[in-house]
Amino acid sequence: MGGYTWDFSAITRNWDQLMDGLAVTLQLTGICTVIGLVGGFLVCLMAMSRLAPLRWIAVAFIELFRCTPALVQIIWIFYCVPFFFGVFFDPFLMAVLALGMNITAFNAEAYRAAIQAIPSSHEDACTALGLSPLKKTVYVILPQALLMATPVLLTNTIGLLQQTSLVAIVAIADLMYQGKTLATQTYRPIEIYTAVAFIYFAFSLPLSQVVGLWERRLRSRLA
Amino acid sequence: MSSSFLNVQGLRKTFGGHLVVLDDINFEMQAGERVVVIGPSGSGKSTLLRCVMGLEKIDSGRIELEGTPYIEANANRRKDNFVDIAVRNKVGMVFQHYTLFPHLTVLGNLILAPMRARGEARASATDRAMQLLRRLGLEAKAGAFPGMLSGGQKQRVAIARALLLDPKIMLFDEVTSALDPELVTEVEGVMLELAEQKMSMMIVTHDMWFAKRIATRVIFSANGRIVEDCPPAKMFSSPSEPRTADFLKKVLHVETIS
Amino acid sequence: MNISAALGFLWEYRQALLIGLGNTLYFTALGLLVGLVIGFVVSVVRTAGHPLLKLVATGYVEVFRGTPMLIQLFWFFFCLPALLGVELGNVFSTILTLSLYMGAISSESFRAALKAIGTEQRDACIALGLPGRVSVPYVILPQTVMRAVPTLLSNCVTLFKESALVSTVGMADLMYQGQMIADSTARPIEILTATALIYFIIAFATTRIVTFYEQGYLARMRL
Repeated sequence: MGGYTWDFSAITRNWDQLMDGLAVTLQLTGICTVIGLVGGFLVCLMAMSRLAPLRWIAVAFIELFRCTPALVQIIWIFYCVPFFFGVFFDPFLMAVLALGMNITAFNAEAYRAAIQAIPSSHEDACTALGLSPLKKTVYVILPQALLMATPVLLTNTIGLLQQTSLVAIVAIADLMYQGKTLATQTYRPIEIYTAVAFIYFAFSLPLSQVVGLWERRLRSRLA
Repeated sequence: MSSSFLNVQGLRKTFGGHLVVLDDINFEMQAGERVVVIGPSGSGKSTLLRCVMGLEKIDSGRIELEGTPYIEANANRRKDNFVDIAVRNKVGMVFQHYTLFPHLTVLGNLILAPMRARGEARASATDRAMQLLRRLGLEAKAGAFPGMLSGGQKQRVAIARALLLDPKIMLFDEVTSALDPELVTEVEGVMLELAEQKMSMMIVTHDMWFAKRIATRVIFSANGRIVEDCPPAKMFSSPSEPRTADFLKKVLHVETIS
Repeated sequence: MNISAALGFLWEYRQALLIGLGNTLYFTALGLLVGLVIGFVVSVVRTAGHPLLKLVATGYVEVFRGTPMLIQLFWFFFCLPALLGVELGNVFSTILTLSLYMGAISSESFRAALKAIGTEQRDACIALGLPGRVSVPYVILPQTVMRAVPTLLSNCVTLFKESALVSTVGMADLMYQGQMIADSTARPIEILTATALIYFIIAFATTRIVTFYEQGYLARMRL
């Protein structure tokens, strides 16, 4: 390793370009996180609904997005949506669509697992206390489900942050794309790619620490 | 060397050096005795049994079986206790939560230690195990996994697993506490049968009627100390310590049982 | 769209798709094999190892779970050979990336399974006089593996899906072949849908095995 001379000026000179990419990455992650948190809960409700067709649609949606590579989903949507609908959406919008649906499917599963983990004795207790189904859902089931789903939802968000890098392949100027461009422009792939990895890591690590903290708290609270 | 069968001397056990669970416990037991330990929760009853089994690191004291010390606190508190494993292996224990190995069948649970730890041939271990299961009415369950058994059956298997190692003394740690009431008698029945065969036992239980029935001696412990140690007849009719009387009154809702 | 025409078109390219699938499975299988070994060793080190080794192992897991696999791939393809000053070979770099990624995610699964074996089981081993040479292979290891299998299988599905990324560095996996055919024939819909379906069938079947195992085998054992 000693043979290589590091040159960090490739990073410092192009810092603004990397930060522009980071802004796109964070925008994508932020928008899709919100979509996933809300959409995931709705799809989860559908998947647990009494109406069979509603349930089928939701389960098919979840399984389809969970069982195919995110890259395939992105490429498929970029190639095939314009073909089917005859319109060219803005690439950023298409990326939001693809990643948003992906995270929605994963979050729906997280919500579902959390709701199923609530002991059925709580349902009975609610009935015994005379809580209406709506009140039961809002005051007893939902808060517990959120509490238990949070570590998984956060982990999914970390996953999403990393999945956003796939949009570089369809030429959206995110952090990964800027890194790729700079790596070829500056002939300094080692410095650039290492810096890019560091930036992703710097955002993932605190989140994963929060997950660990939350899980420990959850264990002691629900023990 | 004392002539007693089990001898606990100056046993002290703390958690983290601050919380004292057992404080200078001294007691002796003769072969064939059945000592039931009673007392309020947190009085260290279970911990005492776990120390005798060698599951806990003790702060000071020593424990002897048939005159041989097999557990001894190390003067250097950071170091592990001295444990004579060969002697400790003469002690058997049954736990509240069965602790059967879920991935092995009933027979597999029974013969694991004889075969793998003591080098007994599979045929011989299986033979002895089946005999024991037959005696306990569990022959039909030999091939079943623990998850398929009732609590009472699991606990009887756990007793059989310990007995197959020919222990000199058996420790029972609240073995009926996790059971449904109608399953308690089948487990207690096995213990009474062992009593008839003069097995030495130390029992921790919350069931005072069973304690009275099986014990040859009852120890009342509170705050990590032995408060009273006497035959069951005296313990349950006229305890000499006010704390014992107070405790029995609370758990039995009557002055004494007869 | 005419279904039979689409199927006829796909049939013409079956060979190319099969070669891609073969490569995908080959990369995934090798990544799994090496990754599982790394994962197990790392989990043992993190559970009971020297503090310094623990720190290294934790750092490894955090970095590989905290950065996009795309950047890991680029790093091992373009940076590592330059740093070491040796040619690593594309297949080697591919499998190295997949293995290290699998090692990081599976170590968490092994660790959770190791933790889940209660102290009660260890007490029972002492009470039965089982020495470590008996309790580890006959009591601890079988229970760890049985508990870890569902999450490990999910890890396998994740790796299988993530392996689609190797197409971006020009490895001729299923995704790469699909995109190549889509570009050269200008009929992306049929090919990309077929590619997605192939991924889906394999991943979905594996997740069903997980459910079957959990509901059947593990439930029977009450592990």
